[in-house]
Amino acid sequence: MIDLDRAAETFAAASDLTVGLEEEFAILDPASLDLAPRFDDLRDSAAERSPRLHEHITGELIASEIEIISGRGRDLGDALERQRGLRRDLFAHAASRGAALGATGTHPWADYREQAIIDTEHYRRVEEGLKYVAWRNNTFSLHVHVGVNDGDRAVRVCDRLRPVLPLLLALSASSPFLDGRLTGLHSTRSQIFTRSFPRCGVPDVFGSWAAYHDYINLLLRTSSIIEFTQVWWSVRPHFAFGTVEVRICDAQPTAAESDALAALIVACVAQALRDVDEGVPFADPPGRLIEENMWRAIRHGLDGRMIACGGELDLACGDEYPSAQIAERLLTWTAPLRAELEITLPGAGELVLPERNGSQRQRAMIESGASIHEVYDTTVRETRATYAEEVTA
Amino acid sequence: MSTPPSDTTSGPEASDAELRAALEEQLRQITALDVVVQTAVSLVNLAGRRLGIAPGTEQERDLAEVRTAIDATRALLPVLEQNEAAETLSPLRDALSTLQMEYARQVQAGASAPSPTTEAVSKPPQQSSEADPDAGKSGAGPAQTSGRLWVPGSSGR
Repeated sequence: MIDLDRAAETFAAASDLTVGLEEEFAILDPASLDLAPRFDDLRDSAAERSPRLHEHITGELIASEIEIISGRGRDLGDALERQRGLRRDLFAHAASRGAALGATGTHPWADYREQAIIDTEHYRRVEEGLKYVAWRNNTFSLHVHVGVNDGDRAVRVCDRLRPVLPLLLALSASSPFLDGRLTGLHSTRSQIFTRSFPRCGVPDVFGSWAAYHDYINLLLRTSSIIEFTQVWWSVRPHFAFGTVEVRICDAQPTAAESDALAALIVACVAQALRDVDEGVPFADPPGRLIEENMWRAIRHGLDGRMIACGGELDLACGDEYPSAQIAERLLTWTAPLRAELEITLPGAGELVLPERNGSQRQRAMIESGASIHEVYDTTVRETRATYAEEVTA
Repeated sequence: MSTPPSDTTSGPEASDAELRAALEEQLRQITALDVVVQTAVSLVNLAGRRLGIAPGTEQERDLAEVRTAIDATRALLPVLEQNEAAETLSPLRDALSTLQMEYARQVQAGASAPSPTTEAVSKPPQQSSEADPDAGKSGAGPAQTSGRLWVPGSSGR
């Protein structure tokens, strides 16, 4: 099913720095906030409400999950505008059908044993191939696609983004609960998805399209995969879209955070692409070091410390720094391309990464005596208030 | 602040002297860090007012002021980080985070209406501590851990 030559052609025809956004939401019963398996109903009835919304809804593994995809935007602003319209439509539509929507990396208490896998060819294959690993994966995330012309450049951008993945994860962590417990992890989603799926997480260094091509070929020849979307790396060249897809982030409780994170990811991809083109020296950090940071991001999020992997300003490889500095460090690295693309972050008004990420805020509520249900209730309200908002501009 | 002249236990002159002495004593004791903390708290409080959410502050809404106050508070954080334990900065970070999110929301919404999100952050926590899916249906918000720090919406609604 994979036509590698066609994928190469797709990348050869792709434009640099187009942007696509994918946001996954939990479908909830508004009263109990339990997961509700309403995907088919919401998708089918959306056709009557808005053909545009219907076209941009997709399913994601379980019947209690719904995803909206912006489609290809010319740039970040275009993609955000499309996505904001879809969010408003989706939230209004869900409300009219008596459903609420959640946007944290995991549902706090839902029992994975009660979730139904949606009936599509892809997800039947996923379930058959992964079994428990698929069943356990009731997770919600933000994916960002950035167009990159030429497969070689796309693969080399992925290489450069390897050490950035744990940083983006720490920034985005929003899933401190699972199975009705505070897990002690800031991104529980990453533990049950990223660290348990095969071909997932931080990929190896490939260096060229040819090397990546050989790897996919090997997977095909050995019947390890049938579709390239069974390669779940947290950053990957997307064969159908001609994009670099960043898949590391938890879903964001507020729309402003989702926007800001998407903007930062676009800036990171754009900067990595520029660095590739200009031949900025780069030593691929060893996977074991990046994995150390992945674990730190999962366990401690922005409350912990990161190990410099090389490339960080003013730090030698192996130095530690507080994770609270991550945003500033990424902003400093991407400053040239953010200026070129006119991406302003944060505090410059339109896009803000708040001081505390979703996990920190939820954990703080627990520490002050709120129950998990109360925390989730508050978070779902924040989500509705920000994603469903009518934008006047 | 000055003592009213009608005070019969001590004359106004003595009172001024006392005040001066108290101020002197304060200046002897105060540290730069105290001033930084006070300034950060003042900025957070000011930003809260300028968001115009709390009843009575609607006319004060000025998002440019909010942004300046947020940026200034963020600029002070590294100094505090070097000198304070992370836990003691938690309330400040929480408050700043809330301000940033509300600021972003208002900027995006064109700052036309009071925030629906403030409802979520304004209610006191219910004191149930276990994960009971049926608890809190009335919509309790996050706990107001911020102590003396102002959190948008916490003074009303």
